[in-house]
Amino acid sequence: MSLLSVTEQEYLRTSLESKNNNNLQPIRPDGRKIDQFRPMGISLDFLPTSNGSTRLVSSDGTEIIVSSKVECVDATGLDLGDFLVIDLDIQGYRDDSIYVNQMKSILYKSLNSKLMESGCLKINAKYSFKLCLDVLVLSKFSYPLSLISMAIYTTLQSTNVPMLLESESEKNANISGRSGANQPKDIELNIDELPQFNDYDMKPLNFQSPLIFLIALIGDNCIVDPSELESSVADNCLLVSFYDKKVTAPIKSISLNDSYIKGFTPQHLQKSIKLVEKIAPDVVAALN
Amino acid sequence: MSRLEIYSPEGLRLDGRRWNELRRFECTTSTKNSSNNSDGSSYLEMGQNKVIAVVNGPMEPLNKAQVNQEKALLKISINLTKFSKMRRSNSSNKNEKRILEMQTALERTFSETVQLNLYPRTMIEVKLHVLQQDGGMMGCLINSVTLALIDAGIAMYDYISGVSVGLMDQQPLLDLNSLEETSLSSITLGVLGKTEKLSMLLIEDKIPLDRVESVLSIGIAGCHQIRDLMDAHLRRAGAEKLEKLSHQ
Amino acid sequence: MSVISVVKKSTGSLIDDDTPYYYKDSKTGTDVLENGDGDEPMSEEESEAHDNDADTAGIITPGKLITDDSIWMRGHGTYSLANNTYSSVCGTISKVNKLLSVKPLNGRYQPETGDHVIGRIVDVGNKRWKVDIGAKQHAILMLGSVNLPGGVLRRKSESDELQMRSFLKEGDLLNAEVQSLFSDGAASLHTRSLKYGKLRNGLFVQVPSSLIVRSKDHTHDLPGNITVILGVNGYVWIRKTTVPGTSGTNNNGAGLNNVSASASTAATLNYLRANEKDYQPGITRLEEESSWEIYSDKNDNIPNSIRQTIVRYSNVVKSLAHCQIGITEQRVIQGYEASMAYPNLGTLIETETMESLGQDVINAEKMRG
Repeated sequence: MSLLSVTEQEYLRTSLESKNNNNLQPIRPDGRKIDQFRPMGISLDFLPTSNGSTRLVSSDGTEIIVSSKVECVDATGLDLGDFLVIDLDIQGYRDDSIYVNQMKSILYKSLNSKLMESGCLKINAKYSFKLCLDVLVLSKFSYPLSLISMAIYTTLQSTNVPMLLESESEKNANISGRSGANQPKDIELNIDELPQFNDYDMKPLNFQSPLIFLIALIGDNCIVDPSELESSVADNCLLVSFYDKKVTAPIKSISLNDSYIKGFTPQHLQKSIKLVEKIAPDVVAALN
Repeated sequence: MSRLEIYSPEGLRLDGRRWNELRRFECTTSTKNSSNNSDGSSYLEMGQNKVIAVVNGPMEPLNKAQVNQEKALLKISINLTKFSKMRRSNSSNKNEKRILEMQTALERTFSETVQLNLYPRTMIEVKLHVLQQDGGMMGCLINSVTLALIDAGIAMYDYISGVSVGLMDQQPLLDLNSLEETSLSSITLGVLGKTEKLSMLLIEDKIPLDRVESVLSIGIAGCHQIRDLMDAHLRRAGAEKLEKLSHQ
Repeated sequence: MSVISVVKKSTGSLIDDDTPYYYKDSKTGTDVLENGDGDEPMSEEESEAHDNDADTAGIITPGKLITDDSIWMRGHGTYSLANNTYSSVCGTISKVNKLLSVKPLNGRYQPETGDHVIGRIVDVGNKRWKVDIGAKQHAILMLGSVNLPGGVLRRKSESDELQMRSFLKEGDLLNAEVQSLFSDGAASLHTRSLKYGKLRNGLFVQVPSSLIVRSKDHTHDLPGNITVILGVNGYVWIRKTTVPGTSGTNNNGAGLNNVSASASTAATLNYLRANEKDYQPGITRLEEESSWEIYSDKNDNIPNSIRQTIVRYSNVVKSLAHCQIGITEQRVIQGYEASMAYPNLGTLIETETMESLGQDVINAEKMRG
């Protein structure tokens, strides 16, 4: 993040802290309302070798590419956490840096339990799909987690998985035993115990992944989708997840900069959750 | 795979091309609309290869020790994404020997053609992201770098265009896809502009010496074709931009 | 108004739909190589000549022969081989007298002596600051090229070297003039005039440097009590209009009591002068005005209405940049007036609004002739 001068920071702080009498809104550096996102463009399904793909470009130049791939695995002996792999590559950051790993773990936590609950990866009693999500952040100017969650959302919305041949599913249901070493098998292999897939027919995965919203706190104000400038003067930032028409865990606070770290009050939290409840349906509608 | 499938007696290849035909070649430059971004960028689709190239610079070197008083430092990095192949690879490719070798080869090739001496004490950074690979990777990377560097307004003596050529018995085949690449021996070459000068030649397989010439000549012709395609795109994109600017 | 606008497409490719495919307009008409084409050596001159014919838009690409006439001097963007001059970038030819150069369509800002630029301090070093001006290399601002508190006649001492950070530190924005260029193209700056110096009371916007047209003056007082500085390097500063020297006098920190006293006298003087007609800050008044105040880190009190106007101007500048319209004082004013049709500042970041604003500016210009 580029360095700001003292006077710039002060100017931004006062603008964002201020309460305008007319409409009770802080003055954001790009004039947005507190609940307004920056516009973005999304391209879908441009990678034929992936089951789903998204490229998201935000108006500030943030560019994110997400690919989803599914493979068929023998589910016996696998933990609930073994069906989802998330890989995050942010340009300019090492893969083992705290920044990347923290984001990865938040994404994993928010996604995995819901994915398992929905059961959309299950094929039959024995086999299941394993979902691999690769996220490549080509450029970013503020904390990109919210945009990543949106890109994952549209990727999973457009992800198609192979359809099972009807007879095979019944046949496989009857197979029992067969010690299950968890060896991932290629879906095209033609071994008896493996589920047989239709060659051409695909069906949508049908899973709406949770969205993560970032709410920056500055003074008493809560603003959604903080930009680079706003992030650099924010006191704190709340990360609020939204799934299945309601606000859900994880809710977490993160710091966006090193100079203004401050605590927050329950009022902030309440306000932020209300804000997310208000805007999230619109965002979901826009992404669908 | 049987030889007949790769090149049928009727003279058709697996994807229906003839021996001297290129794959689909489409590209764009200045892929990002925002001003606070990179200096130049390109996106290239060559067959099913999909590559994004991003150029930053010339700029202050990040590391003072890297400063060269005479010329710019050119750094090219390749990010072979895990999802780029049909099957997802589990290991990170970043420090693989093969990738490091490719990076060095690209850096050497372009250090000769980019007028680095015009930008002393600076650094030019090219980042390549391979979103999907389908054979002939190196040639595709060369073309992406060329497009992105020109887009960034960095001075070059000429285009470098790259393509791979395989040899099937006596028959050279231009621009191999991944199926062909795995079953034939092939070479990759980079050609300077419309000349017959080679700025890069990679022969990693066995090729009978007496066939090298015919393989090279079809490769050079293919590179010229690619150079024309890139040139056509850049001219068109340039004309569009110029038209917008002429409001002034 | 919706909270988010998303443009979604699913075309199987990242290449825009409306971009025509290469083979629709390339002269070969197909990507098929003719049989035997590969064996036929093509002579260089022939192909170059062919290219020239096809060239309609005046766009030159690297490696292209521009002229074989040795009468031309070769400028930027060209190189020569055996009397022939070739292009080395993608751009347009420019001929000034006998100087032949190719102007690249994209590229970083290239400083020229006399340019009014805005920069950000990135490093404080031995008697010099390093300034990011968006060029290939950081510019240098020597300690000797700035006005220090106490006026021009004051001698620079070692203590000045030690307290360089109290004048300008990392992150600070300033506007300056390019004094000279080093042999490697890096710029040397100076701020030895009252129109230059540290920037306060406003917002920073960055646009491509190619959109800023060099002109006599780059500081403009605009309607709404706003001053815009259009740095030639594409860095733009939008601030509240202030009369130099009259602001922020009481804000100087403790420990500078003695200087702040002198500052306030200077300020009173200036205030009086400001009321005179034809007030022009000039070299003669440097002495009084070069107080600590010019390096103050405090903003004036800026009312919310002004802050909103600043945001409006910043969105107008961004819209012009989005539409790739050259940014001039006239156009910024025009855009500002057109933007009044959108009372909600937030709508000005939407793509359609930016484009219609750009169109309004162009249309207004055509009407005026």
